[in-house]
Amino acid sequence: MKDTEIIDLYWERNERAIAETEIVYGKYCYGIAYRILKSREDSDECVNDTWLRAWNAIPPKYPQRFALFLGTITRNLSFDKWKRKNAEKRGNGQMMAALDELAECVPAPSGTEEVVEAAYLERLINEFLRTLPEKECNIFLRRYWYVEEYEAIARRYQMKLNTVKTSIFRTRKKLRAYLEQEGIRV
Amino acid sequence: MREEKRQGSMRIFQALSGVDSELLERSETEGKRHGNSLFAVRKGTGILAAAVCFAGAGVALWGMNEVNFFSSGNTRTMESAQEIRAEDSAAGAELPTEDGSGTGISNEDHIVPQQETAKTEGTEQDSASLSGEMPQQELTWQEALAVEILGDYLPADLPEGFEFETASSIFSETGQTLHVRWVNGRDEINLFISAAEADEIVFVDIQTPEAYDVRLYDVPYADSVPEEYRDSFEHPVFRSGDLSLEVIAARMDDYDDAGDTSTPRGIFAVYYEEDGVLVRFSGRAEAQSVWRMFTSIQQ
Repeated sequence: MKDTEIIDLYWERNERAIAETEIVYGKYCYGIAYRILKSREDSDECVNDTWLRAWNAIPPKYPQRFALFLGTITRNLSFDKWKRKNAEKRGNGQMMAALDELAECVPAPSGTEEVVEAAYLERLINEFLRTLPEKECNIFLRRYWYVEEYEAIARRYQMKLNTVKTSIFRTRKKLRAYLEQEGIRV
Repeated sequence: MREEKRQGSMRIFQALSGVDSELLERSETEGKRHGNSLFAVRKGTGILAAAVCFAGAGVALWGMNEVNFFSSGNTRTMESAQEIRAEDSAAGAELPTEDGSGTGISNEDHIVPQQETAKTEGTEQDSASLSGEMPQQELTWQEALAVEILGDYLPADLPEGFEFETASSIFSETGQTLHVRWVNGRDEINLFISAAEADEIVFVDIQTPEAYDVRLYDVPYADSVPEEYRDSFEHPVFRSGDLSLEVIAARMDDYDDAGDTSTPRGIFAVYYEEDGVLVRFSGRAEAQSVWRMFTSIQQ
């Protein structure tokens, strides 16, 4: 079923919308959730919550990029659940590794500046990503939006593993420099 | 990791959820192009170049460890491939187990006869064009007003607190649709305005409230609305002369959705016969305000 046809079902308040969404995007959203949570049960829960959120949002929303609309909901739900479950933990896992790496991007505090607002940080990161060459931006997003493992990224783009790691390492440095240049505190 | 750094990294991770969707899409598109290259495989509808299958050199490469298509790590390749649309993704994708190991995938799962390649590529091309994107042009409010005929059906009066957010002209095989959105906090109003032929529309009989009055039925409507009224209930189109505050009130209701606003919401369409224009409404506002909005059309 086409995205437009599925979205029309939401607008018609036809409950088939959820079933069709699950058929088309169930695996996609589950993959996003699982890479963050590493738990089937928790991932299933986040995916089901994604359908509920979509049902409540459409209408009046009419997503132009339905896959990413759903994927973003799933990502946010999964991260929230991860935070609740891992508040006190330290340990392994891709999610923890990704956060450890992103910690390198946190600029050193230089004064008494306030922590930047979330919306402004989003804007800055978008601006930063647009300064990057396309491949470098893509690799960065696969790692830190999709929480993909380095090996999976290397296979996806037909690159050597070390090349991927080097690219991401350099991009993290660039992001930190960019945020420091903006004079913000994350 | 120090706590401050950790909190910072979590904020950056959270902020990445706001990444522009075109950047995310691009990261998937490139994956598809590389996924179609000579050595990429996918379960089910996967593509493997026929030259690799049938050439002796390809058979030799197939056995090499560095290709490593059939280790458990390939499950993650399958996972990455599964992030594309249903037209491309295989049924029954392998999912990782709790310990992260993948299930084995046999050679036969990945060998696809050459004649299937074109079909799959065509499917992928279709899916690329069927990604939910319709050709459309973003408009300013002034440009929306200036759209020939359709722009004349934008309201002069809006419910209190609503402000113009976006407008676009969407082109499809059925013609042009003018879409305008106004927002008031978490509430939205959307109008979709397009040309339509009267003889292709089944109009709601306003003397039969069972055909359109949402207040008469309980959610889920699929269980409560009689089959004979299902179409008109889900897609009500009223003649402009039949539209009234009572009709609008019959289409707006306050749904008890957890985490949602309490503003009444509803959907319906109005057909203006003089110009052959269909105005579809979807949004949240009090019925009285929506009625005032419609009365301000073409003032």
